[in-house]
Amino acid sequence: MTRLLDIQNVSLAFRQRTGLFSPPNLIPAVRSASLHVDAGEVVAVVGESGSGKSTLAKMVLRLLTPDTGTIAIDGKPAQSLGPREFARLVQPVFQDPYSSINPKRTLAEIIQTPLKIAGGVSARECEERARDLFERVGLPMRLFHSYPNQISGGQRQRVAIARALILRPKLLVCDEPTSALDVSVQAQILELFNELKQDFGLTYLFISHNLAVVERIADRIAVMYRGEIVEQGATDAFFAAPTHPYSKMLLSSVLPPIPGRPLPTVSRVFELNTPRGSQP
Amino acid sequence: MTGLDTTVTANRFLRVRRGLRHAGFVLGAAVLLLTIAVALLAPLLAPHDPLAQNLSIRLLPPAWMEGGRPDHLLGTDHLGRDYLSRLIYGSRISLIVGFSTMLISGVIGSTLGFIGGYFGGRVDSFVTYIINCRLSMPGLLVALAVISLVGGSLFTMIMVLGLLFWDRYAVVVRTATQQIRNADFVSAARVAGASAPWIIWNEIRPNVLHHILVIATLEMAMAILSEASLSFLGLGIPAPTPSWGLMIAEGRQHLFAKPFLVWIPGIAIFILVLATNLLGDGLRDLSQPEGRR
Repeated sequence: MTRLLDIQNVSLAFRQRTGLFSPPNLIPAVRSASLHVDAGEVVAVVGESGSGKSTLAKMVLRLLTPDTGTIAIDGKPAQSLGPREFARLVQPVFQDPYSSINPKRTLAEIIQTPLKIAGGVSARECEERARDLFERVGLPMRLFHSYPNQISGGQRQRVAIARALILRPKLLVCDEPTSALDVSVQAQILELFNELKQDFGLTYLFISHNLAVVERIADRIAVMYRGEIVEQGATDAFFAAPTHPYSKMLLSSVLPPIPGRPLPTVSRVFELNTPRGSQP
Repeated sequence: MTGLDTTVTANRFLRVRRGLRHAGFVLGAAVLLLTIAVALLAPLLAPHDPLAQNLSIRLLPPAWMEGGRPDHLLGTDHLGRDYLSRLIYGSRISLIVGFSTMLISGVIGSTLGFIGGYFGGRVDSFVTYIINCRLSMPGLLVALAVISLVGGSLFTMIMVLGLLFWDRYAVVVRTATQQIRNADFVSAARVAGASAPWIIWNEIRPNVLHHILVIATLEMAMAILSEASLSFLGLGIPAPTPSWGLMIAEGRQHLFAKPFLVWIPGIAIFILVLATNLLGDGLRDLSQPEGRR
């Protein structure tokens, strides 16, 4: 297994200006976090809001620069990669499907955007690849030239996923990709993530606060609390026996469907990793 | 997909239909288009040479008034020049000044607004400083001073107005850009390796364009009025060229005896400025609600 993403002792504090001459307030968002993701793995980062998980994701995406520590992607320091080289390795899927795609562009244009920026591909091939992906993420072709305001939130998220995949990246950084969707659509999008992982040989860094979602998709889990990674381990082990007190609290905060009874054991739907419709 | 094979595309026709239902927009656009047509076809439409003087028929009243002549529909001015022809040729000056000023100030103001809004921080402080400097100058007074120094001509007037009245574009575009630059689709473009100019042009500009269009129409009306004011004060278009502001200035001496010399170009300015403003308001209304955005 190759180590696709390696985060070493990364810290970041936001500076809050208080006055013209007074020193800025430092608000630590991530404190000395270390995490690695191997190729083909799904690693979930969980934690409550404000625990620094989105900040961590933004640093991996190079939208924020860490104060200290290093992030290596595919063995190379992230900061040393050129913007196009980086784009071919890592792509994002964001939380809010309403803000993550440009309302003034057609879906076709949105999906082609990263390919157009990367350049070197003819307009026809660009469109062809966009069409393939459009179908692959489960969108009806008749929507190809429509605008974002004509489709639903779940469909918007599929568009965002198609855009993230058009450069054939190795790592997808998903920052709460299902939390803005309703439950049934969440399940569909999760299933899509699982299928795409097989088809494209993807690796996910999956940020979420929803433990049910994480249980269905993640191989390993890292728990963040106040900017620190307090526990990490295999998903099964984590759900069976969390060690850190915060993890225990996090797990116990999930309400059981029947009060007083324990949580039902969800049969993990994604054990069915066979291609769609090939086996009973 | 079964059955539903119709392609769903952006319904541009729907937007056009919505536009046609908006009375102000239709009226404004119609008047503006008519004025543009008149300006373009001036040599064909004007019954006389707008510069040809004939002192024997000076100060003729319009045709429907007593003493008017049918071959001079709107009468003649103090030098016996046909007033209708001068009005028709005068629309050219108003439109040229309006459009050119709008373009120059639009490019300057939007660029500043995009830069300040997108980059933020020190760059934004600098842009805000420039905007504040501009806002602290009384626009028309500075225009007056500069033109009286340099000397009035169509070119200087356009340049002076264009270089002065970009503040509204800058303020509005800067704010609108600030709201959009943190959207996730901008981050996505950044992760995809796009440069700042690419993002501004391809991701932000389409979302700000409707603001720019609305300001552009308002600024155009402003420029037309400023041209009229400067020409009226004798600092705009030099004398023989027909300009509506200049026509009012020349008619002023005969205001009590021949009031039509003032109110005819006055009404022309009023209608053109009103039409541009109506068009701008219409554009603003039409660009707003459109499903979810």
